[in-house]
Amino acid sequence: MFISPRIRISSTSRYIIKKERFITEYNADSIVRFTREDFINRGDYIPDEELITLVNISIELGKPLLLEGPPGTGKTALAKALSAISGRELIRIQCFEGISAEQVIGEFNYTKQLLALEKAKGAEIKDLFTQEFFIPRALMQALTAEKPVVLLIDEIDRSDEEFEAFLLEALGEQQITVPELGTLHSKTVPFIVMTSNNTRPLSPALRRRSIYIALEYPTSEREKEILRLHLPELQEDISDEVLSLVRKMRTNDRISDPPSVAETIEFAKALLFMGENIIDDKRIKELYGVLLKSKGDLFEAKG
Amino acid sequence: MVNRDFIRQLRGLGFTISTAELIDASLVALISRNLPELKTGVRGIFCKSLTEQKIFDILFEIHVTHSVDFEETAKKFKEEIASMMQGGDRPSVDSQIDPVRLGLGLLVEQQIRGIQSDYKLALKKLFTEGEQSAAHHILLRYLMPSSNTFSDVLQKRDSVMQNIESSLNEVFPEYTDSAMQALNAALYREIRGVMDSSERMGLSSSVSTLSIENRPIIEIENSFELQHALKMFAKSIVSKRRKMKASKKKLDMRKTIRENIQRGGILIKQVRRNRVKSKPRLLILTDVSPSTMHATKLFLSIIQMIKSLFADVRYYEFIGSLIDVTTEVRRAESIPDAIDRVVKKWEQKKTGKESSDYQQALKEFSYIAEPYLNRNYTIIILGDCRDWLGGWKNGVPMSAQLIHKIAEKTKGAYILNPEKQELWDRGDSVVSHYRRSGAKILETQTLKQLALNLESIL
Repeated sequence: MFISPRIRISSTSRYIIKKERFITEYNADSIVRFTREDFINRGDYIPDEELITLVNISIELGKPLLLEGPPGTGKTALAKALSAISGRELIRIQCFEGISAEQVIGEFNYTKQLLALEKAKGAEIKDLFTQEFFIPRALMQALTAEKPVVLLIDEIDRSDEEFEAFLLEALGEQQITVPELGTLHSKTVPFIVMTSNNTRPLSPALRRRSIYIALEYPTSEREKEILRLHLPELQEDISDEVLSLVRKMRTNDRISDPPSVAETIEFAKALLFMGENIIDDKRIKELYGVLLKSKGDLFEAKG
Repeated sequence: MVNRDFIRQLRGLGFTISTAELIDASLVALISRNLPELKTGVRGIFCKSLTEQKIFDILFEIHVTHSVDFEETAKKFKEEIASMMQGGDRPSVDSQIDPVRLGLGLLVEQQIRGIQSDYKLALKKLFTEGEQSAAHHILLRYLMPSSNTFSDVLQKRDSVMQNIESSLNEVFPEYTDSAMQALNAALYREIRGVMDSSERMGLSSSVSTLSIENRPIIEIENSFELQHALKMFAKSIVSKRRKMKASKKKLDMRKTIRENIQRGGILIKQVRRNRVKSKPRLLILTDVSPSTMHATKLFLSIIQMIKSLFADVRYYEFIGSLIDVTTEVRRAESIPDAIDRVVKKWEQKKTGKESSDYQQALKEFSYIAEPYLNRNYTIIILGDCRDWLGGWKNGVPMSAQLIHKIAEKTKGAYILNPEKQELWDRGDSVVSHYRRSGAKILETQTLKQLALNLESIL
């Protein structure tokens, strides 16, 4: 499609043109997809089929993934696995209350600016607000990287709404605007993964710009596979017992913070470490602290 | 497969689907190799919550999988939608009179069947299936004369009744006069019931001055006006806190120097630091005895609406003993669902003691909530401070000592008392003892007071 360079194209038109090209250039068979084996062999991660499909679609469409679910369901691990599978660098933004745009875009190197001023004494002062004096932070690094990266925006629900709104430009247009530097377009398309524990509802604008995945605790079969992947030496009967115990805790309404997958693996590791010393239920109950992290929950689990 | 009908139906159910998302969905249709892949991909794009995913799955089944028993799926669908609507999952439901959204699934079912959506058809079907209360519901809502609120309906009662009668005549010409009268009477009773309770509550005056004590009252889930008022209060608290956060305070030297360096180091512009107040963490104890149950419901509703303001909220319920209901509230899909869950849990776990025992409840609280009793947390107790069964020692209720210990350990203990101030310290009320123990007692008789008190605590 020929477009005159004199015509200024709106972002929406650009988007549609990009998609039109996509339609003409791509077909279902020409797309490289990650497979379950890729995730298992290279990412140490066991996904379900839906997750694989959505990850592949998200990569193809260049849209961020929004993973929502309780802690310990493998949201952050998925981003890490994607980085390992694709061989892309993982850049992480850990959100917290009060995080600001400067903390993720970057800031001007004040000392360097002062030195430049000093050096130019008497001479004409050159522009101090250029890329030369700018220290890029995670978001800027991700968008200006020569090679595509995996950008993990972790626990986005902990950030303020202002920060969430600021991210919209980066997520939708893959560009950021720094007043002194202008608008910087991404050189490559980073694969963006956002995670949320749903402590506050995210804005519809952010949700619309992403592909939504609700992650729940894995099914017992999948969790068994995960245990096998991480602890191949674990005997099957012990693995079954661990899983049945964990499932029981997760379905117990009186346990406020049920054990995550990572904690299940740690518990199984602890059992392996104890080895033959595990002789009765009492000794096993001593290890409940690996699974549960509050006094009330421990009390409930130990009965 | 991403066809116009399917999108229209999704939009009719409240899905917000933008043009960009439509294009993306079409691309997914292009690159998908099989049906499950298509379904997963399109769902990932259109659905923004678990609830939406559930609705999407059912609608997709109906559209695509012909082997599925349509009647069965439609029934399931209808039930799902009805529960969603009842649960107030979509924020816009109660702010609009939208026949599709208020159609409780039946209208959607008709759309699926390709029949033009018409509330009268829905009504007819509901009446013939014997689902009269659902028909009343739709009729009442649909005929509200350009108003969202019950009080408006009440004011225009006569015109509403006329509309209902003419609609019934139109929908059921074959019906006998006596059947018509019965239906008419049922609808009249429904309106009358609402009016009676609202008159008792003085609904004609501002809802903010309504007493939140337990009386014959309109339930939150049935009253748009009450829901609206709660939302307004919640919004006001959120916006005030946001403004407070945005108000500028201390001078940011680092940024000021940087800002002015480009002007040769001459101080032209001052940069001030945004005031960042950390999000509060709350431990909420609510009295669920019959005398305070309604106040508890309102309180929990408002807390749920403003939960984004808090870093952590943990919920406990008490009468004669105490239970932790944090998980129930967190797992709830909507506010009525949360209230329903906590009430149910109380029903299951109650020990049989139905009289207030603050001593026992606070003792259990000190144990259960021990990990959270620190300076990061603020305690809010919603209760009338009527310690009926608690013990006394040296002329002081033992619960007051526990309050003292809790207040000392935490950032502060506030008691929101739904009783009038004149009734404090009368009978088994031990307000002044609790005050002396370090708790701040706030009269919370009306919704407005509830909102103001919450504002002051936060």
